[in-house]
Amino acid sequence: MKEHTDTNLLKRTFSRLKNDKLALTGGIIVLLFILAGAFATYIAPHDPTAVNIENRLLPSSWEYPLGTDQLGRDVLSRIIYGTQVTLRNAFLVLAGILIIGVPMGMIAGYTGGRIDNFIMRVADIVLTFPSGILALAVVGMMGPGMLNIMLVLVSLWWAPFARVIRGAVLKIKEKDFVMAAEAAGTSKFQIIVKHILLNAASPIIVLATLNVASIIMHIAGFSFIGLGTQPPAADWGVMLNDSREFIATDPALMLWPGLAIMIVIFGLNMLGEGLNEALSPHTQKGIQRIKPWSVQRKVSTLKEDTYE
Amino acid sequence: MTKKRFIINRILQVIPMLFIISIIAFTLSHFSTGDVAEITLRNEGGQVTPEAVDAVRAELGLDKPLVTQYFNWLGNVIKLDFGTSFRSNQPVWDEIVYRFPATFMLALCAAVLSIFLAIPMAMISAKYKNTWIDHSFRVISTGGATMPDFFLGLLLLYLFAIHLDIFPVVAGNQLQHIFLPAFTLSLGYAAIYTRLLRTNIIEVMDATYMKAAKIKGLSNNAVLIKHGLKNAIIPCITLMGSNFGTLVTGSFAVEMIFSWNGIGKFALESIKAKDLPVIQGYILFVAISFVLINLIIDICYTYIDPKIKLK
Repeated sequence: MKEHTDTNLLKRTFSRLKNDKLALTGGIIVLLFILAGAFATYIAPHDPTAVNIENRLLPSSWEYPLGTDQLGRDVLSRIIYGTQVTLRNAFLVLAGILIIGVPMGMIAGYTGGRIDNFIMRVADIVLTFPSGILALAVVGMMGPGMLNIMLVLVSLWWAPFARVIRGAVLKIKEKDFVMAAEAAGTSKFQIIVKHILLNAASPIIVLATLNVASIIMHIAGFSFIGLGTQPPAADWGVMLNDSREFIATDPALMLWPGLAIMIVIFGLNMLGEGLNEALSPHTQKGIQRIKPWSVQRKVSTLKEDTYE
Repeated sequence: MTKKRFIINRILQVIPMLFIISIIAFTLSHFSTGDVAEITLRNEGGQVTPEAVDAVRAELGLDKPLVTQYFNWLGNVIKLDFGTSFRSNQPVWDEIVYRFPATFMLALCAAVLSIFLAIPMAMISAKYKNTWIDHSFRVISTGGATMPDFFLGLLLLYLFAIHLDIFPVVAGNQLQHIFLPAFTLSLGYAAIYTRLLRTNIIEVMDATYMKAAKIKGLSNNAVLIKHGLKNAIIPCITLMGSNFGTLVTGSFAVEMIFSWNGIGKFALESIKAKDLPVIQGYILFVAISFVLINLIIDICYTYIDPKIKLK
């Protein structure tokens, strides 16, 4: 089995992505949002939480490009700071998912047997568990808050990553070069990290990109229904929820945060699909697509091979 | 593996999940911000003295070890006694059962609508595969799948209920107002089904029985509808079935936006009011119906699709 070196993989990916206009657009969108979030303090024209009742519900102007909200806060600044909050939370959730999912998959794949069985059983349960129910339970115990929602997402969504890693481990474990490395005295840990992670890198990158999109949709959704980030924080979901009261008179208040959520998810989705095709043109079917928020990422229990 | 064995296996698989859910729901009552005994006493209008609280604790069995409490609680749950709502003083079971039909109807309408939206789009896409028509449907369905339902709901509410004034702003739970919330819920699913169905139809079109039907003299469209769709739609129906379980748990955002009086909206209101018995009841009710619906669908599926191999 030929393994890809890092630079080779990068070069190939970039050259393929360059030709895929939709993926390129997605990549640029995502990059712009990341930049806006990273430099929010420098870009945002106003303080996102500064209340100024005299300036409430202003239309767009040079001073307030997207107008002001019901408390006179600058909508553009709130969107920009919202980007920061959203992306930071999404990447934290992703990091949590990877920290749990990758070792779980490795342990399951490498040890096999009873441990493998147990981990995969847990993964099956977690995959079919409705996130809304768990979120409601956790919020009921510990009160509303973004951290609680993030914990819920991490505890449910590590499973697909564990599956991918486990699959990669199983595929490679018996290969000659791994056995040779083992016979030559390389430690198991080194083998895992070097060969298996490198070989599982492509599906993990694709899965991660699409997952960030789902995470963003979920954290915005939970904030919107009042279980996540609490007002007055500058958060897209909170802004959308605030705008409901003024939907008849100031529909623009709802438009901007909604568009921000939609565009960033669209960008991530396009990028993810592009990466999927660029990195692994033959394994398209194995990758989960993003689903509408609150939709269970159910892995059908009725695949023929799960019946044995 | 026989059908019977499969069904028994599936039922056994469900048990750990139900156990976890019951533990979660049970823990919830122990995490309550106030002392349950105290709250009960207050609700009954009694004096909150340490002795009275202790008496209520003994009455509620809160002084017993946790495991005993769990089994006592489980016994009540099996008898459908989910406790009393802090807010309304009504039995939680009654409150949930009263609101469940609205959620169920919404789920049903959304599921049916999503399939009926997907069929024509997928058929047209498959028929004109790789032309601009196919590509534009692809863009539409990607957009539909990435559109958050809470934003779509707000947009539709503004457009149809406020701007055009065709539908009421508050849908309540009247059947004639179900269209907007059902459409909001269905669009994301429709997008996913469209893509799946398109791929399936294209695959099925190459099958020999399709060629045979054409040779027999059926027109292209007739073959597609009569033989192609029938076979291509099976995986779609399965997916819809598994999504239906989720839909029945009540879509918080959509029920909230359209003021649809289902269990999702009810659960959110209860969270805000810290009405823990209701939340506990909601979690149990919804989780059990979720598990049961998935179970029923899986079992039905073994009858619908003979191709599935029960090894």
